[in-house]
Amino acid sequence: MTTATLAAAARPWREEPAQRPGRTRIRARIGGLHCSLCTGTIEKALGAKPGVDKVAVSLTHEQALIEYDPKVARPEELLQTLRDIGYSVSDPRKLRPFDEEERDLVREGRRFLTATAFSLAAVALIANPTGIGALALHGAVIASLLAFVFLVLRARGLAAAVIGSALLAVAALALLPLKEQLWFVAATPWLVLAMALVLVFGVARHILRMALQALRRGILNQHVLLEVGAFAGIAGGVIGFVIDRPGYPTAAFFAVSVMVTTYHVFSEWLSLIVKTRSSQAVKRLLDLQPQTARVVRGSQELELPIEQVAIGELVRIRPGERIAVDGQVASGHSAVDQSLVTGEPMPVDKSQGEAVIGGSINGLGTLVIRVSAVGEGSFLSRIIREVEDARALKPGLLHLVDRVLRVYTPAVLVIAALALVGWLAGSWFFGGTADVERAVFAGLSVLVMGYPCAVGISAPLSIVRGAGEAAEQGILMRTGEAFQGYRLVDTIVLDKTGTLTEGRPKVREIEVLEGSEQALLAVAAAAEGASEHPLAQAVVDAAFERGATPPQVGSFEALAGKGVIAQTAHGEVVVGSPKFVAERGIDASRLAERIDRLEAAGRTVIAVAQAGRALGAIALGDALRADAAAAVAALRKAGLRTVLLSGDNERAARRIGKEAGIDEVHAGVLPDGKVEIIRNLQQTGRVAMVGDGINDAPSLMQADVGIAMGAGTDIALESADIIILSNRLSALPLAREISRRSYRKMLQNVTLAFLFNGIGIPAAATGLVYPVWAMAAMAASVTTIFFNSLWGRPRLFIDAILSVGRPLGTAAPSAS
Amino acid sequence: MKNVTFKVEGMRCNGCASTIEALLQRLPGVRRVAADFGAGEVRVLFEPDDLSEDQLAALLEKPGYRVVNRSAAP
Repeated sequence: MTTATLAAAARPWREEPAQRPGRTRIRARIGGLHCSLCTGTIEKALGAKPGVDKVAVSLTHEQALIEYDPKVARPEELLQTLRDIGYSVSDPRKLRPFDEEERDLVREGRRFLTATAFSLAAVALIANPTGIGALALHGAVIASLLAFVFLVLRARGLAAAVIGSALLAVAALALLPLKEQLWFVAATPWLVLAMALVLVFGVARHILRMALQALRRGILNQHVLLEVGAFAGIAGGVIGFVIDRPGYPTAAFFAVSVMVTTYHVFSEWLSLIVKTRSSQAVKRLLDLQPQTARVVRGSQELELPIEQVAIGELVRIRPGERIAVDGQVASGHSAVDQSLVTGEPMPVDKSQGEAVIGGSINGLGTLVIRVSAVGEGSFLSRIIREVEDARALKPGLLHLVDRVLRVYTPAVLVIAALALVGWLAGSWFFGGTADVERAVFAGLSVLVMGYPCAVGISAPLSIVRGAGEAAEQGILMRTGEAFQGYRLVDTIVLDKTGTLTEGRPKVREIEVLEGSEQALLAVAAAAEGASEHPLAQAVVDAAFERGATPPQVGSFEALAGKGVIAQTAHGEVVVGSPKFVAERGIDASRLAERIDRLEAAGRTVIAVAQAGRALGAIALGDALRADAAAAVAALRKAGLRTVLLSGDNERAARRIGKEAGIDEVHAGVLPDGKVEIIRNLQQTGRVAMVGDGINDAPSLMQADVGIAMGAGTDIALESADIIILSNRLSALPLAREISRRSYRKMLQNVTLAFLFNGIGIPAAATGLVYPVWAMAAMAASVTTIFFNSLWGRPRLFIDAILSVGRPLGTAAPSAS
Repeated sequence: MKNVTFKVEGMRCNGCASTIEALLQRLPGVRRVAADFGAGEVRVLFEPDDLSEDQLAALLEKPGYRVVNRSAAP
């Protein structure tokens, strides 16, 4: 909603009604959230402030929601606290534009190319290809770097990728004979030092900043770990200058700094690809057209943006159109489909004086509506606010890598300290003098070895694989919750209308008093043929499907909300509600019992009479999707509790629940009631929610994993973690399987990433391992993880890279 | 209303079938259309007051399909 006011420009937050009286609630967008540990830090820092009741931070959406006592705390002060610990704060209403994401991606790619060029040069400079082992090692490192360059440049075309990586390879090889020159040997460590400094303080300045911010907040994340390694490398090299001993790996220490930073920049680029790709995939699905309304002013009719429509104005709604505003019908009548708004599957007849809700879809009549609410007061705005509430209150998920790092980083620091102290004490104890040089060397080697380069790529790569596999099945998995959370879910909540069911009326049962079902349908369809009511259309559908031919109709009369009367060669045909047919003086008492039974089962029943005699009745209802029962059975077999939520009445909901084999049914639920039910379920476990309507959006956001059907409303798609583009319910168990598989891959990758360092660290602590081996560990772990993640499906990775970096709008050159 | 099934040659895939459905659906007087590529049949429910079988057949042949047979349901 673009209802931003001028006053808001000065204040980077947004005020909202609080849940408790006497409290104020504000929402702000937070920049600088680098990992899932940050949310806890912010909640702790703000929660400790006097007057603050509740703090909720969402990592995925970079927002914070704060509820406080305005008599004790002030919003400026609270947000200053956030700035003090290193986060930036901005207005939550401003969306990140498309081209900004693209720019970030290009910038990150450029950073990586620079870093790689440095790394290649550094490796070539310190290369001493005397033995087979050393030759193979340097060869492997160079090859892996060139492969990265190829991948980054691949987005700009195959030719650019081949030429770019070939040029860099040639440049690196050219350094080999050059560095054999005597004058060059002395300059080598200085050159590598210069590259390390430029890289750490220049190109990767943003990482240094993030690491410092994290340190200030007391978080030990991967950025901190990287900088520790990089600085240890620089320190190791500087010590080499000081002691100036032949054989000391001065240049190699600097080179390791260059390498670790390069790998880190690469993993940042990769995470950005993954993030941008999923956000763009969703944007492509959304209807980005600005919403307009056709306003009647005097004799004129103007197409105006929704924001310019005022209360009390008249808006014309054409047949089949989405109703843009809340209001009352001023003239005309039509059957309005409110299923996406209220979950009521049967279209509701609306005529003068009745209320309509923005977001519902007009039937085949034209309506003129007097606007009763706009902007913040409208139904849709209320839902959007609820979505935002749910967004901040959504349970956080500590990401796997962050969980490991919480233990791993302190462990590395402790081991480095132990190595230092151990060597000092040991050499002093056994030899009489402390071997300071060896002790420092051992400590620094541990820090250099401690940075698990591959950890940054382990999660994004498994997501690339998982998202690629999901896309082939018509499933869009867009957030970390989709991969790391769905497998943990123990309860799955399904919306009824449009999700479990088709969401539109269909002929379900036919009760015949005289003649055949075929004939009954034919007579009913003849009368209803010209009617625009959705129930009438469903009758004609059924007649056509069964090959029944409706007789010719002479004159025809429709009575809104009641039924139709048509003249045929076989007499007057009356079709409509049982009450309407009875009013016409037709005795349908023989049908009464059967009609009652059908209505009790949640059906809408219409009676059919010809020439004053009741022929029978037709029951219409919302039908279960063809694959619903099988999908629910598969979910239950996977150990999930299935829950049905519906805004529809108890009878209809129970019936559908029974047909689909659902464990638990909640009927007659209001939109905000849905969120409440999800929150209650979340007390006992993790919950996934499946829905498609406007009224489902807050619950999709609140659930640990929100799943939207691809045909759903924009707001539902935006609120979901997983989008089922195929609209098939069988995708639900499938997506869960993909989530499990991806998580397993992620777990393997993270294990591999830490494994090489895990072996390296104790070795480094002995003080006998040269920093070159840290590079070996990096190259080995990165390569292994690439193979593990993309084995057999390298195409998924290339596709992921190629799918972003092409703007949607006018900026795209029309190549085709 | 009238229910006529046309036997049609020249549908190559389900795409052709949906093209035919879209083509006929928008005509005034046509209530329902179902084109079946597998059976090579197009079934139409229409108001004979608004248009005739011959008109429908002509419209089917215009884009290059051939109507080889037609049968009206009772």
